[in-house]
Amino acid sequence: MDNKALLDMVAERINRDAEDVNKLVDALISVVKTRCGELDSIAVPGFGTFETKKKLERVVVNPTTGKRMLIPPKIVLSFRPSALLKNKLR
Amino acid sequence: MNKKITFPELVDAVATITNTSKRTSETFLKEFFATITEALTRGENVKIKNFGVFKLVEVGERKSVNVNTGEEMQIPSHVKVSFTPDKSLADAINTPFASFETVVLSEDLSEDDLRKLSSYDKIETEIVEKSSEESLDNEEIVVPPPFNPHKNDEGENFAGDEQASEGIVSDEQLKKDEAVVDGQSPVDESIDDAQGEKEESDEIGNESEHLVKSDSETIEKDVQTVEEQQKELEETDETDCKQCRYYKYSRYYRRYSRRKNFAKGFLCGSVTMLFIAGIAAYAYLLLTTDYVEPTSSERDNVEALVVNDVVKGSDTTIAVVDSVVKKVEETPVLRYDTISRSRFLTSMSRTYYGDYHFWVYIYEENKDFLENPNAIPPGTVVVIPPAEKYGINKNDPESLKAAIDKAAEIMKPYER
Repeated sequence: MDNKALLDMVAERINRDAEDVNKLVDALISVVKTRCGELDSIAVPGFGTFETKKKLERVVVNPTTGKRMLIPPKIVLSFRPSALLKNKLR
Repeated sequence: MNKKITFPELVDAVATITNTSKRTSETFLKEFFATITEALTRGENVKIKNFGVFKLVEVGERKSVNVNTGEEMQIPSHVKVSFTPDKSLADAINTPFASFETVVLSEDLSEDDLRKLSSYDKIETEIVEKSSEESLDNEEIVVPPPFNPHKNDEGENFAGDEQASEGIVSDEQLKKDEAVVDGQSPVDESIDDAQGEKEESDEIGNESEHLVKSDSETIEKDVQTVEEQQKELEETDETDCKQCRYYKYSRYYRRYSRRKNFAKGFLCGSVTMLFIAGIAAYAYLLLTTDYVEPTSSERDNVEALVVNDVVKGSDTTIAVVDSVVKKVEETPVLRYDTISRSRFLTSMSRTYYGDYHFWVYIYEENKDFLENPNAIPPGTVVVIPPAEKYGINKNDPESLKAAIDKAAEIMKPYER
């Protein structure tokens, strides 16, 4: 399911035009961006939690060249599905 | 910071951004996630623009051990959701660590070194975890430009010249005046006296001109001695006294004022010299030694020195000090930054120029004392050149390319 299909479906379900839905989705993304940028986590009941994780830096070896590389630490956004979503998928 | 945002809070935030009612945003969010869930349960992957992809991943059957009982058990195969954030979102969240780059390690680095390194970085990341502001710690310090020794030299010369020329002029003038005074008073008086004596002697007779001459000589001497002993003269001779007093006064006044001028000049000179020497030493320290940041107390000292000088010195000193201070102020304000464990040339470049590739220009500006750009000791203070100096423009792909090429050139000798 791609972006457009999803938005159209949501628009149909809440009786609004695609444009409004687009705006709302953009707002949601910006909220996630700012709040997760502050290392907060966002919980959506019945769906899951968006949270940030700190990945430590690590040394990896390039298998072809044998060179060791130092991968810098980073913060990644991860999604942890809720038990409800997990059960639905089973 | 590590706060859990609940659904109502999320609804509020979305409603305020889109200027819609809470109800709309709530129904939207519910439907939005419900739609995603439905799509996922149907076995579809869901892609959301600018956000990311929810993917379904098959997990095969595997064996595991129950932690409590130690029994072996089989975990059946199932489907799990994985979320991959979009690049724009991932970058936005990773901004605190955006300046880090993958580094190729050299061969001769031992495991111990690596362990040390990783422990350092753990500490560092912990610090970053503690406060996200930490990672943004712009140690940007706008330091007033270091007192330029050349400028000071100019100032010194200028001050010295002024002082010297002033001194010479006043000395010369005083000497002239003295000479005039000296010349006028005894000679005139002696002439007058001599003439008087002559007349007297004429009246007495033309018997001995020698006597007259000698008389006049003695009188001259007398006058001189009298001149030197002002009080006596004042008491004894009224006519001479008036003139003498005038000359004496002027002479003494001049002598006094000359002494005063000399003292003043000396004071000015020494104070300005001290001041300039202080600044020069300060600038020298600032330029050569480890680029120690001037602490506020040091700067206060300098300011206090300036104030003291102004108070001590006479008008000329104030003028000189003012001119020196003005010269110092006129030099353009340069930006400085300090290398630290979490702040490199790349992160500085990102803050000042908008793209980390431009670090080469900061390196270029400071290459006199920088060596390997990957091994700059923390605490090193570098000058941040203005963007115009090297034509830095993050929106210009050519400028970017030039910077990348330059980086390759700089890194060449350090590659192994």
